Amino acid sequence: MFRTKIKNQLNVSFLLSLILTLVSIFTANTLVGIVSNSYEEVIDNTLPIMKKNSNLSVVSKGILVNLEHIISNQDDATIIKNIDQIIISWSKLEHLILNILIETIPNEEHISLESKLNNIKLYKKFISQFQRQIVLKRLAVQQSQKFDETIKSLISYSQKTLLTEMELYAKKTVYIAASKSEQSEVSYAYQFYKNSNKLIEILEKANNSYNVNEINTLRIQAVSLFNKMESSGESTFKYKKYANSWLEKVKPVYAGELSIFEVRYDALRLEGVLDTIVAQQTQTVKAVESISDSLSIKLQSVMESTKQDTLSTVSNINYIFLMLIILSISLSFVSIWIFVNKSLLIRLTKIREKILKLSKGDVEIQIEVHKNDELGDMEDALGELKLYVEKAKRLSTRDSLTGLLNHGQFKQNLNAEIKRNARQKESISLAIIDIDYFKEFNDSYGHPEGDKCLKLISKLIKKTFKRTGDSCYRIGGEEFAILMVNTDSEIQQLKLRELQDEILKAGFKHKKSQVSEFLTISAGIYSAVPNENDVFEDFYSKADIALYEAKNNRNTIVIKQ
Amino acid sequence: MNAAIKIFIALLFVFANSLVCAIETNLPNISNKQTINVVLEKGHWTNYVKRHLAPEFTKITGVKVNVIELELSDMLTVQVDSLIDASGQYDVMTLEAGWAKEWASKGYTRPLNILANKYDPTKKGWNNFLSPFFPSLVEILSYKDVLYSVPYNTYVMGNHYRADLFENEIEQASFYKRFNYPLKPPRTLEQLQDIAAFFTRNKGEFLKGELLKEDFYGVALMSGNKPHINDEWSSILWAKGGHWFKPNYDNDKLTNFNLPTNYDLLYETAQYYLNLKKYAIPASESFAYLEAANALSNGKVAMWPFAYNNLWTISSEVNENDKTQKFAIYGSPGGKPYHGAYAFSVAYDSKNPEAAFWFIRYMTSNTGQMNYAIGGGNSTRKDVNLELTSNLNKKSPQYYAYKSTFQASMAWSGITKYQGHYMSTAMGTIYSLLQHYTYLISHEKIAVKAGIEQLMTKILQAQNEVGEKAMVLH
Repeated sequence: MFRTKIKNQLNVSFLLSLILTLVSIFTANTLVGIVSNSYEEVIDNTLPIMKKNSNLSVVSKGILVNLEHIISNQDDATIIKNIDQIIISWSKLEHLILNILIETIPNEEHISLESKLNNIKLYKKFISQFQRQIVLKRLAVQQSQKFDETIKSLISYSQKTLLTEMELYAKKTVYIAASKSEQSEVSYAYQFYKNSNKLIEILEKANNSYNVNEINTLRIQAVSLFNKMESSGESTFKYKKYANSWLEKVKPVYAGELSIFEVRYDALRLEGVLDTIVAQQTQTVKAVESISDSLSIKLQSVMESTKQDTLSTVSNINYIFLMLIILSISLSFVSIWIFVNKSLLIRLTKIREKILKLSKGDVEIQIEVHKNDELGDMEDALGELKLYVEKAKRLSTRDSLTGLLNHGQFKQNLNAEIKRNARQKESISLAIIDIDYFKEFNDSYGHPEGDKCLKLISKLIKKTFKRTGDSCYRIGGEEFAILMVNTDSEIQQLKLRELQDEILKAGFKHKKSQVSEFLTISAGIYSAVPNENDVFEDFYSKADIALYEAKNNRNTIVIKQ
Repeated sequence: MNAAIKIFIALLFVFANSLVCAIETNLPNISNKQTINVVLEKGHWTNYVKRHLAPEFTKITGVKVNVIELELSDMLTVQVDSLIDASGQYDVMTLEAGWAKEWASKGYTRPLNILANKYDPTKKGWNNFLSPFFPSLVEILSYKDVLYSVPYNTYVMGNHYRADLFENEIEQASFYKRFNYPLKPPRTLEQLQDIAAFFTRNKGEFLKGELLKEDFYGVALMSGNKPHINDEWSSILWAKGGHWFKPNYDNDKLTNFNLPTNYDLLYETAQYYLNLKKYAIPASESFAYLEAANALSNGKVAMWPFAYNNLWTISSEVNENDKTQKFAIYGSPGGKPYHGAYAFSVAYDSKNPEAAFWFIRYMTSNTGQMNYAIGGGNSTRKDVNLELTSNLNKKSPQYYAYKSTFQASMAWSGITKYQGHYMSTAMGTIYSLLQHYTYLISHEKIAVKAGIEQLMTKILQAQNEVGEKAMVLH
């Protein structure tokens, strides 16, 4: 058997506990690691996207404000500032989207952002066209606004010159008898003045109109009226000078590349075009914002999901951890219990008990060597010790020559049987045997032969009385006792005759015997059901009396009832 | 469709429009007798107007007509300058179909329904007036669903070709051997390429089994630096399913335009034109429709695949040197030939809009168009077209021209609105850009890719700066 020292066992036990403790610590550390990794993952993967996404939203909002300013007819400086800002913002937005696209984001947002990125690239590519568009629209609007002043000047001329002159001519015709031509001139002047107001009204209307069809209709009316005004009146009319002057003034307002109609049409058209372009850009930016919002929600969801996953994992591992802790503690306890209790305490206690029993002469103890350790050594030694005790005890109850129980044991056993059979009302039969002429034998053959004789008789006694409950004793030099329980005197007598036969068969010569040439024995039997008050002497003395009687005849068996 | 059905349809049209015709030929009394100035494109068909139709109008109405002939290249600027200055120089304007929406939006032309309300005493005539015209032309010439111009001379394209070459057995056998399909007028662009390559031969080779004394070419292309080059490009591009730019609608209302998402079809078109040009008769910078028509009639080319059908009188002229030469017209390859018409409009600054209106009504009436067709013009009316194709000799050039015109014009019905080309109010400007860049690319003065990209950028700019609706970027 492999030898394990107690110290080593103790070390193994402590090592096992240590390992289990370390495993528990490792598991706890793993749990912390998972939580930590989870947060690191969130920090490394989600938070940067969240940050970029947040910037995306901020930049988008900025662009929306810029676009709004551009179309809201602000002053040139504000518009230029907003255009510059938009140019920078598109680049920022593009950069941010590109940065987000390299991250792992949901497919839907990825596709949408890619699409919007393409739009932004187009805006950047055609940014100079966009700027030009704004400038053209601005110029058209400014030009349109200038017409307000021009119209005021026309009104002023119409009121201060055309009206005044017309009134002068009219007054003349009132106080002086006017010629037909003069009357005709007054009528012309009046009509011209009236038409001038009408034309101004048309121009004013056109300059404030937001309807292209209306502007075109007004244009037709204007040209028709102008032609009418231009062709009316005689060249000889003095009023014609003022009329022509007015027509000269109004001509560039209603005709030419910078006419009120061309400019107004351009302003409306360019404004409409710009509105559409800005609306599309606004739509893209709003879409980016919307994607950003959606992405933000999904990222939060991812974070929540990661949190839930982590909690779930931690929870699962926590169970394992708890089980491990319980297992660890249990195993530690078991290992210590196995070692301390089983390997040490129980064994020590048993060894102690065995030592105590052994010290009292109890040799019935079972001694096993459980382990090849120091206690095993003790168990081993205890086994040796038991052998010595057994030997010593055997030596104290048995006759050393014959191996039969000695007189002390005879007395002890007979007393015990008397008590027991008295309780059970069973009979005891005691026989005392004596070798006939044994002194003469010794004298004749010597003591060694006498000892051989004793050994032979003892052997035959043991052979004959081998029934359970029978016990045989050497109670004197050549005197033996045979105690039989539950037996009456006749049976014992039969058995004694059987013994006598065996001895005779053995053919042990005894030349000094006076009753036979061979060795013989005499026996006295006392058989009775003992009383509780009976003692050893009661039986022994009666059996001895019977022997005494038998000895009178030698080779005889006497029964004493 | 068999001949009987065609005749039936023609008669139906004639009957349906008889009332309208009666009104139009019996012109009302025009109160304003002031002479009207009418702009017409210089050409043989204008001579007929000058000599016959205008005097006829004067005879009926008492209003004199002063015809001002302008070259197509000058027509735009001369008339627009006059309109901007409100000079009232012209009463009836002639415009290329592509300009109609721009002029209408800018108020240069008058809405014809308003004039009809004002000057047509019965007003019934106007309601039926539009129905006989090819719907695609009415669509092109309208602005916000109101007609501003009336087409009088359609120049929809067809393939004018040498029928004698296609019918020649030697050529047919040779072609079949080389291309493994019968020699017929090309229906597709691929077939056009094959046939153009097939007929392109050097001096000393044989054609119809006869020795060629000079080089012979598969096609005539109007590749000079004139507006017509872009009409050829457009025909090829549209046949390929492409577009220069596309209109977008919201509930049938035009909202904006956008350029093609990618320029692949434009590159393909450019490359196709360059390849086809290898088989085209050499063209000088001024080479355009007259030169192309003459090249065909003079027996120098096998086909003029993108020919204006209103030029059939020139392209079908008999070649005195080759009496076996036969002329025919088939649909242009690809089935989406350039489409449009010269149209009349009443100038906003007209001093006699009443007479101008009735002159247009007269010129575009059944009678006017029939007379115009007899004079060599190409009618824009279905009824006139059908009547003529029913009556004409089925082998006559005019029959071919009218048949091809009818088929091509009807093929565009309802779909012109899907081409930015026909819907933009900036086409006057864009048209010039198309001419400029297609010419540069065709003559390899600029690389295909760079040329197309520059053209697209310029179109975007033109639409946004001149057009009424934005060219959006996506």
